[in-house]
Amino acid sequence: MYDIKIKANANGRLEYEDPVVRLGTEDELSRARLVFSVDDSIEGAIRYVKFKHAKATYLYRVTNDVLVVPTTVTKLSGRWFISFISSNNVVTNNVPTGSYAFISEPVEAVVSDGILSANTQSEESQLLCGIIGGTADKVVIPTSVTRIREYCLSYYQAFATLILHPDISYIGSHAFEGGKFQRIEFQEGIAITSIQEYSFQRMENLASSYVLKVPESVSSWGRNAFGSSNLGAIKFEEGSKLTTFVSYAIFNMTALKELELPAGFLGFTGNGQTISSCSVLAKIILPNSFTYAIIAGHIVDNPSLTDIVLGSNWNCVANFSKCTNLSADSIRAMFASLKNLTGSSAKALTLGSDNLAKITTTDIAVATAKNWTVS
Amino acid sequence: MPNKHEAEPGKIFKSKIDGTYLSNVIYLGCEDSIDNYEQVDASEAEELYEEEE
Repeated sequence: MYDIKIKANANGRLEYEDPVVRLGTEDELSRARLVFSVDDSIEGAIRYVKFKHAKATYLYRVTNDVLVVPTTVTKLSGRWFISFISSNNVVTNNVPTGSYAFISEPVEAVVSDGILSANTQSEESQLLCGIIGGTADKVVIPTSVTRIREYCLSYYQAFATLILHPDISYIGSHAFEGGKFQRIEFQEGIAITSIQEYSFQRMENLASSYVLKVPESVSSWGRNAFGSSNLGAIKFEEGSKLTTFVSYAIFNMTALKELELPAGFLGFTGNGQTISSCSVLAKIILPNSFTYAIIAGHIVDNPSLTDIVLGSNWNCVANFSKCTNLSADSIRAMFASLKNLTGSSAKALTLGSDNLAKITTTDIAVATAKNWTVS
Repeated sequence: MPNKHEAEPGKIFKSKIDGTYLSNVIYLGCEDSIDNYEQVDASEAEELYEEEE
């Protein structure tokens, strides 16, 4: 144990080596002791040291002129004052009770700040606390997390921006369902390949101006991935690897006004309802890469849909008979986009009686002259 | 002018080539033939929609 030697002089002053008495470091235990040498003229056999701190005061009895620096003192870092007391009777309630008391002038002492009890959270730990606590206005998925499990942050209650870093490779079903996110940011270079079914379903608090930019790496889009979400627009990055939609891929997206499928898109799988129940969806743009026939049930129950744009040289059988509100201009533009199939097998473009009633046989002749059978 | 054909009441056209269902009125492509189509009951074309959860 280290001895801090202090001499108590008869003139009331304490002498020691350092400018201040260094009692130790915060949280130390029994590392140092105060060893007093007391001037012979100082009377009394009952001796104490008084410790005074802004947050506490203690009076400790000194035995054989030695006192181990108490843990109550080392518990409080900062500036202390100490005073040596010698009396011929006990001190009670900080008051000498005998007929003699020596009380030295207070001297400065210090307990240094320690780091043992410091508990500063890492940045990632703070992020996680914010996420788990539902208090973050930005939910930044930590970079150590590359796979997001099912229901991970479903029904997250804070209005936040969700930031998905480039190393995320997987987002499980329902992962963010029902969250009050206002934006979703896929950071540049993200390598995610699959957006599982229902993963972003029922996000009803997305900002109306928000445009979802789907990373080019996404090649799989589950049913209802954004179902019932308040997405105003979806843009697929150039080079998108997405080639198909399953049933209910775009379902009940009540704010979606326009949808442009990426170049290279091949078609819709499943029995129907692929793009359905989107109440304000007015325009769909389909690239000429379509290969799988579009059946009547694929695009249904979109009452505001007036415009379907076919990529130039369109060469795929399509049935839009359940899109009964197409405009005459849209239909004419479709005919203009059809690939000329003369010299090869005819293909069918079905529009249904409601749509055919809006155009003339002259309009239809544009398509039939390219060997398309219009119905 | 386009070569127009109408199906009998309650029926629609179906392609014999690829099974595509059309509607009850067709305007044949310039090199297409009505022989490539047959008339089927309109109910046959009702799609088997998947039920959503």
